[in-house]
Amino acid sequence: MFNMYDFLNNVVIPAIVYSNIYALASIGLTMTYITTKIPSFAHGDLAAVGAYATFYFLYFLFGGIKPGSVYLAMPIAALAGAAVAYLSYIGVFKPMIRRGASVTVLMIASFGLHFLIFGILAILDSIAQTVYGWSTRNYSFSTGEVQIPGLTQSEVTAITSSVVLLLILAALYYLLNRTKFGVVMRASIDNAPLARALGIDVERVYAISWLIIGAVTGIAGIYMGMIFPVTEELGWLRLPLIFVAVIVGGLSSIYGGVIGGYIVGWSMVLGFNYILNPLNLPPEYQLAIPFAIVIATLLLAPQGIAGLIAARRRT
Amino acid sequence: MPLLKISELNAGYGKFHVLNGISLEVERGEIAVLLGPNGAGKSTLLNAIAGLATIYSGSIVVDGKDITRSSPSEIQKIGVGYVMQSPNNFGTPNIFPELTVRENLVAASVGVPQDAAEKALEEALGLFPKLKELQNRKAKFLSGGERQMLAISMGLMKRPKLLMLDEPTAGLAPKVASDVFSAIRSIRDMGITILLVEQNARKALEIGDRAFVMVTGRLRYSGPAKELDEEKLGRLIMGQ
Ligand SMILES: Nc1ncnc2c1ncn2[C@@H]1O[C@H](COP(=O)(O)OP(=O)(O)O)[C@@H](O)[C@H]1O
Ligand SMILES: [Mg+2]
Repeated sequence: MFNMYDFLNNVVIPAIVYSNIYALASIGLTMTYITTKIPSFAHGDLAAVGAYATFYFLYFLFGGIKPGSVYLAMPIAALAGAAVAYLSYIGVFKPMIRRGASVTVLMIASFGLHFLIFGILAILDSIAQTVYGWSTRNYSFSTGEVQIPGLTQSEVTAITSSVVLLLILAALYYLLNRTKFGVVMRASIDNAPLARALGIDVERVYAISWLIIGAVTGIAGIYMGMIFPVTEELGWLRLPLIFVAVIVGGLSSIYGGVIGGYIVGWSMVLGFNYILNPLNLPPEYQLAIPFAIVIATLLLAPQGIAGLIAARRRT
Repeated sequence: MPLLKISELNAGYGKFHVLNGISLEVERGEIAVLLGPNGAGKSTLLNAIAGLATIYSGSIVVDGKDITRSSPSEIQKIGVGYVMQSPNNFGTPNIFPELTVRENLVAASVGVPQDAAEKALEEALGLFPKLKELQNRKAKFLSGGERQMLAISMGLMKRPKLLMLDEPTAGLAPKVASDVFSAIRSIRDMGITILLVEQNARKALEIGDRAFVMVTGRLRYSGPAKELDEEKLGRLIMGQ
């Protein structure tokens, strides 16, 4: 018999939380791709950086994680993500692009960058443990979520992550469409040689977009840390599905990636509840469902959701 | 003092050498036309002036300022506007297809103070009333002529002293092309010096004061436009 309460708790709430996490993380990866054309394997690590910054900030300030405190740390997560993303662009990708590196070479470089960030986080981990006795391993931010009487932590997170996602999308929409910088940024993405000829410093525009990429992804890291254990693998383990969201979204539109994130989130949760569970399949198969969707997308609508939206506009 | 003075310029793209010892001068207030066959290096010369090519030796001076090693944005500030060929040497159009007409003009006014940019934008839309009607349309939906009008307006957004136009009538119907030529004349009458690359030599020589002919990266002719006609141009190009 259909139970509304179970459906809400086992399906709707987790699906919203998962979807928001993948949507938030896909925004930065889509921007990485449309600005500098890098399918970055270090993207997930920006989320881990945000989560680690949150963790250290809260431990430094309160010696632990108190209810609601992650929102105090959110600007710190954004700053840390932004700083690491900016340094990645300025220190690694920009010099390589200037030397004419191909997409493949940039992709391999991003792989190297992943191991670098990963390694630094692991080292920080052991320093924090031996020196301060802070146990960063397998921590969860769920205790740092705000508490609302009568609502479970998951329910609250479904609400807060939706609000944060909407605020970020609104801010990006405003930035891109209502400000001069946004126009210049879209111009640089649309036609970089012409932008240069018109005196636009395209590399500077890209550097600023990497700040935005890092900030948004750092915030995504906090929400990842609410449902997945915070380790240096926090972002890396999510990366395949972030790629799925971005590819299903069409690689060319931030909003397409967000819809892609929702498709990933819902398909995972629905698949788990209605396919894997009834068939007694282990949860590891959960990943198979989003990947089946991405293969179907590539076969049926190679341009993804953004392509479908553009095709509709043309008619 | 000429507005543009190029001396012994050698330039290209990376290691690919295109221009060989180009020297030329353009006086203030004139229309200078640059002619030559495809692949001669006309666009490369304009790219070099705009700071978009690799310069090996020689110098480029605009309005008394040496811009040989300057960045594209510095060169724009000194007063050089550039309407690229479409598609240009980097394979892209001379407008931003995904931006609206108005946004194209805004993008072209980067670095200009807000009030001056708004004034220039209204002026540009005044020069081409058609663009004003279309200001909220995405540029990819414009006709060929409208695109060129937009590209030219974008080149004017920073009130350049020198406006370089690379084949602005390519692919246009004769009627539309002559609209573009008369627009170029009125821009000159605003006091802006023009360096025009054209395939339509007859029309270009008609409105030009001075002419240059380039063949395989070298300058073959430099002199008054009225002393050049299509027949002489043909002989220059064939190397006689
Ligand atoms: N981006 C580029 N990289 C390398 N070579 C180029 C590039 N663009 C043009 N060339 C070469 O430079 C030469 C001159 O081209 P161009 O200046 O476009 O000639 P024109 O404008 O007179 O037709 C040609 O041989 C062309 O193949
Ligand atoms: Mg050319």
